[in-house]
Amino acid sequence: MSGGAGRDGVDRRSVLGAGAAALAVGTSGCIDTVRSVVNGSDPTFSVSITTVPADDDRASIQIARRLEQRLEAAGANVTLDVRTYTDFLEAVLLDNDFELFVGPHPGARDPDFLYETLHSMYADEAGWQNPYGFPNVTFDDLLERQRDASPDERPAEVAAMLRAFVREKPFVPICVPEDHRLVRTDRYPGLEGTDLSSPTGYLGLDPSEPEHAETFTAIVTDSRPSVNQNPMAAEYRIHGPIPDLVYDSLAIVDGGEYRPWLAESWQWLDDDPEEPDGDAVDDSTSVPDRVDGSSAAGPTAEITIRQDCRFHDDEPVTASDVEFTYEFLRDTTLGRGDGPVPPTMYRGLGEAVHSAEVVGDRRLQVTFAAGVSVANRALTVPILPEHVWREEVESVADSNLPRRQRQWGPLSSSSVELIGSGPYTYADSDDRNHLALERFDDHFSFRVDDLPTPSVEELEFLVDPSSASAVQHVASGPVDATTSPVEPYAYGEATEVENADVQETASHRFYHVGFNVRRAPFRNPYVRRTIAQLLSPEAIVEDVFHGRARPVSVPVEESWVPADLEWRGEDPVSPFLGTDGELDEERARRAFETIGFRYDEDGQLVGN
Amino acid sequence: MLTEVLTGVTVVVGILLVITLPIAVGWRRLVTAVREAPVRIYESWPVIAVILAVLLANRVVRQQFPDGIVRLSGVFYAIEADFMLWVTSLVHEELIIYFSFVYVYGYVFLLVFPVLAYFALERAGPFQKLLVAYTLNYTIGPLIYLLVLAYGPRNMLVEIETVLYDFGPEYQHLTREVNRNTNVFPSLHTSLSVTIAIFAYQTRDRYPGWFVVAGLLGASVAVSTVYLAIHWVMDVVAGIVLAAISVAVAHHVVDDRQFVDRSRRAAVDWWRDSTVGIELREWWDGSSLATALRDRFRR
Repeated sequence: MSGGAGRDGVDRRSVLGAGAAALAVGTSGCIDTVRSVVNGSDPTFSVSITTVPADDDRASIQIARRLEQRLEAAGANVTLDVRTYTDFLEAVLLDNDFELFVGPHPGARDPDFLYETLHSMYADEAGWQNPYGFPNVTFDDLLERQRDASPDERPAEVAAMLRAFVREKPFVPICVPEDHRLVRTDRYPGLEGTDLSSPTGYLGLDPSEPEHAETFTAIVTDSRPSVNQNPMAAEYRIHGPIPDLVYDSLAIVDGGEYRPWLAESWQWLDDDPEEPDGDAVDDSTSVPDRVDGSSAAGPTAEITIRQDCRFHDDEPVTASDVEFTYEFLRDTTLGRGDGPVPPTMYRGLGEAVHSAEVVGDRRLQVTFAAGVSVANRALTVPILPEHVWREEVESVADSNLPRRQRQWGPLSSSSVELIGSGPYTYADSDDRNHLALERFDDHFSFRVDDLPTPSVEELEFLVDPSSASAVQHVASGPVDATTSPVEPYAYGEATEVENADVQETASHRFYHVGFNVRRAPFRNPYVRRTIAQLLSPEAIVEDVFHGRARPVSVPVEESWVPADLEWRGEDPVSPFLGTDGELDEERARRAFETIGFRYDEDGQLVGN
Repeated sequence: MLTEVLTGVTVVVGILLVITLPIAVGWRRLVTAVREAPVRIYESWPVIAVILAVLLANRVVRQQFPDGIVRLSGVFYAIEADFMLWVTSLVHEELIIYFSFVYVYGYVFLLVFPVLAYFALERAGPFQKLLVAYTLNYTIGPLIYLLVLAYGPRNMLVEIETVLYDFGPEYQHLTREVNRNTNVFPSLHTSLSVTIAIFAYQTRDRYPGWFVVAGLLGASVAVSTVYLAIHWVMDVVAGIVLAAISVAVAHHVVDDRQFVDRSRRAAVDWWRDSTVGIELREWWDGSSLATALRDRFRR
């Protein structure tokens, strides 16, 4: 493209003006904490957009720049704040030090993930739980209702919650990208049929020659797993199968169903225990309403762990490890802090457990604070060895008791012993280069029929930040697959690799624009809606994702979206202020005026 | 894949050196230099030791360095995005090939050639100054990386079509090995190329051809970093400033005989008296290489 006019049809000369402003702020020494100055002495509307560089995620920076150009066109002063993935997540999740951000969200199969994502109870916590600081008690009610609903009622409750979502726009979902992975088919025939986004994709691999059973090599474009493997460190995890290969969960999701994994079985202790799918939980047993967000007791399940399971250090896996895990997810100081210090991941899942009681070596009864379908989600958390983590918590707690999650070692430190009970153990790693996992020969899957086993001795994950180069690696042979999805720009080349297939798997990951609702202009839902109207998800899918994504107005699986919120070319509440991806500047400026902003003589947007 | 790229660079630069060194330096001088190598190395050994130590430290430490403190990507972007898009809007495959070649192979050639050519000079001055200037580049540059965190244009202006790594993704293995993507300010490619070009100007009486080659190649390297969207113009400007400082300081240090003598005396004292020095010397005296060298000298 030429340098004069941006792709978005926005005159880029205005960017130069912002440049001078950015430089002025930059030289004052705090470029990364540029504040909204709407209420200060300078009344112009200034905002920074935090995102990651192209090496970390090509799509995010492109969406961020489009938003920057559109906001500039509407008269705002915009700076881009580009950070490494880890810094980005620290700023957004842990420090809440941002104004707008653009990035991927891991999403989830079940729309209940919005509970932890948006419940106002979590607005002051660090982590994936409500990083936006979105405070809306009416919306909280809707989140709780869908969570407590019985499976029959749930679709209607979810629909009601989603309708409020599109009106409130706590964040702007853009699209759900297709996940494509390039896999070689010569050394592992049938690899194209597995799902390498899930840990089970790495089990039961069937090598064509016995020597291929030694090492399975895959590429990750994200260097973070090679740097820190703490399963509780939100700033190093986002998606990907690696920690789940090391840490077993009670249940795994397979083909859209929750299936027993570390748990041999679970039984709902209700009128009709034969019905595990939750039909037994009718209206009379759904969770009673809560008062001020505290969880009330709902259905109870008796969970039995498989026989003779061991952690990687040969300690047995017992019911009390499971109980411990849920206790840790409620308060990671185990009662040693002034108040509970919640984790920065799995918050909503931990909250879905009301209480757990050990009733035998391998048995425990768990009472959930959610309806059965959400309760199942809580069975997917990684089970931590009590003997390792309790000791870690106690040794750290003596010297540094945390006020905030950010300073709490067990939630980010790489010193925690990385012991799980999963099919693979951590073997070694080299920062930003590689991570190797070794088979755990004592894993229960070897003893249970019909479960996939770790058939390959070593899984090696090589770090290569570029999808283009990842494709070259697979093409030239020593690498078997890409564990990270191939980014859309390299898709074409991926399809041309010989002896390899491009596999597509369901994805819940979505790109979004997040607001820091704690800060002045973004507190106002009309400001959020107007900013949403500057972007056309349809055009972004076409230009940034080469059509390989699904534009959305709500960030959940299609089956949960009510007919009135289905994507029909634009957002049902905040339609794009333009046509064919081109912003109509006049309309954008009028939209800001309608919600109380003014324009000064230079055409700069001024706060109200 | 890194090995393949490295082999490629070694072969290409090797061929270039084999062709250019005899032409520029002359056989006689080369042969003399090889024969007198041990003496000349001894004469300059403190300078050689320091540059080797700094290069080793760069190799080992730079990957572990924390990221810079001051984030400047947004500022560079705001000032230069238009200019970068304009420069890179000239998309010609021949240009991309030329500048990629210059950025990868030409740069390495540019770095190695003067080391050998100046080593072949009778006087040790230019050789020592060059190495001191390299040392300064490789010390000051990384120290600024500790201060400034910035991403190059390719990491923000994704639509640029002349990005080196889109054209040849394999080269990223090489550059990733050398540096992190948050270290773009200043451009070391530029600062070293300009350093070399300044020295080439100052030694133009001895190596007039090299002056022309270093000038053209150095300018091409600086342009390539921008054209291939690796560096902002600001990085290049900072690189030029760093080069000027490095050359000036190198002259000062090497021309100041007292300073050189004092350093050498200190180094010799250390070599003679410290435990490490004694152990190292014993190890060296006993090594087969030392024996071989001594034999060669006696003959």
